[in-house]
Amino acid sequence: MNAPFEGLDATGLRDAICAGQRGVRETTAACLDAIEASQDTLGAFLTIERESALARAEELERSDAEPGPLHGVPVAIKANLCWEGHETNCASRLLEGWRAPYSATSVERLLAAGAVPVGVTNMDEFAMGSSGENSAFGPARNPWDTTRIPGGSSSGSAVAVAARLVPLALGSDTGGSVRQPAALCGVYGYKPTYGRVSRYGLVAFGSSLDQVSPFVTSARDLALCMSVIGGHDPRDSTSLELDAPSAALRGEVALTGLKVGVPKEHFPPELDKGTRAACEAALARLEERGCELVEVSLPHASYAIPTYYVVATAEASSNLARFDGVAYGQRVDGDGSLNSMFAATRAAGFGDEVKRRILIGTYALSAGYQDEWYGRATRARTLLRRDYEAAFERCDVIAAPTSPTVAFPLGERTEDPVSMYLADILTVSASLAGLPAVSAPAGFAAPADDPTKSLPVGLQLTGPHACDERVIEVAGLLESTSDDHLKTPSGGAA
Amino acid sequence: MRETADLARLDLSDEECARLEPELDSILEHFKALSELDLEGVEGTASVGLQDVTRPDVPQGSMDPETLLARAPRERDSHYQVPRAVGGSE
Repeated sequence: MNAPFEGLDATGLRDAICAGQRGVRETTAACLDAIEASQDTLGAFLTIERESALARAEELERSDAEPGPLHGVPVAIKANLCWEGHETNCASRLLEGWRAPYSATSVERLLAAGAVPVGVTNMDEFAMGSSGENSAFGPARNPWDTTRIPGGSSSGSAVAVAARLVPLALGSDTGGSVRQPAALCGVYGYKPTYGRVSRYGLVAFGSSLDQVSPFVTSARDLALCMSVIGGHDPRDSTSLELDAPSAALRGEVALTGLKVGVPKEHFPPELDKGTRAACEAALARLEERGCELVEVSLPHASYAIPTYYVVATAEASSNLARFDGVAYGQRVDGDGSLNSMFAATRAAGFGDEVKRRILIGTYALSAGYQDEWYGRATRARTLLRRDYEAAFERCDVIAAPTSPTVAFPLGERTEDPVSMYLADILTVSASLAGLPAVSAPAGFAAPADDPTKSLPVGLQLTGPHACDERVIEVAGLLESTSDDHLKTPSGGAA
Repeated sequence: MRETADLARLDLSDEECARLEPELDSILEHFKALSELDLEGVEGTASVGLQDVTRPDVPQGSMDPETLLARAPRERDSHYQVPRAVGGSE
């Protein structure tokens, strides 16, 4: 396959377009061709929007307006973010054919910055999953090894960026749904501080956790993207009254003497050997650049998975009540009564994992059990938040692996929901605490099941509340210590 | 299981119930770890970093109803059409 933009990052591509070295239409068409050629092997996209993308590219080329910060940059949108006039089906049969009547704030801001959306990406249904296998329309595949999962739930967006089909894609991260697939696909995935990016137009899963989150191929693109999509939005009452993070990285000087906390609980004995070695090597490179490594503790880390899954499923059971066959998507009639129509529509429209989570969440909120389950989980969440507050008294950022393993084979965990949930063990804590966290490329390792293979590893950098710039800057420092972020998979377009 | 499915408005088949029940049992078994924690005097966290938000009580434009109705499974006379809530068919 030919690289549609020679592996340039979004910043580089925009600069090349603005310098007249390449056209917007030519770039867009090359991206669309590469995406179409990749679909049978990678399955990253649910819909490819050739017509609207080319029309927009022409409009941008004709326009006399000052070029925006993402002028002419092709982008992909996860299927749970509303994009006006395009199918936003959350990879669910229930919403098949539903076209968004408006655009999410994050999508609107990408458009205002001059980006060219080229398609809607595959995902786990309603963002519930850690492998991409819960899509009603078939899984996306990892471009480094197409027999393996790309991670999830933002599977297609991760694959699209890793395979260099687009330089930037939006996903959403509730418990790791951008960071974990970014790690397994060898790209950057950034979950901002809760409230830093508007959730307006993001189909809700766990409202106290969901954040619109980007995938890119360089640290400078993280800063660029956050400067575009970040910032207060009056249409989301949970969005913070803060300006968008700065578009520029301050560079290495400001980071000398930075204290990097290493939580021993996030390097557990069951961590894959190769993942541990790659992350330790990345930490050593940060140390060589003047960072100080300090051991910190997150004593309640082992409670993060049950805490997260009780909170997230409780919120999901409430949020997904709206998909009842009345206002959206598909309807199944049932026996003629209203309640039977609701129940028949939901039974036919939702896949197994969505049903599991709705059932767990409904149970955790039901009379007589609410205090035992949801109540305890929200109090455990307080303990997890306090763990971070105490740790950040001793360090500036926290570094640990993003995922306990590299990409696992398709089908390996689909029969065992608990083993699938454990894939999120290192990402859910930052979600519960509302903290900014990035997964940055940190080398390669062999999977436990096949020593001949070499697959990407991600290092997760977590910062204190609202310190998004700091997290991105440390990612930039780590980037300057190796060329891991420049390596591309043979299954991709580059 | 049936009771929870009814609360969740999910019409599960017997086959689905038989398949999902042991899975849910094993998930809840794993989550029981939360009962080990001493949570005496610990306040719950429902959300992080939020404050009450108000805005002036001024009417604002809303989306055209026809745009939304066109996306519904069934509509009639500018309303969503659903089965009769009491006493059977539409």
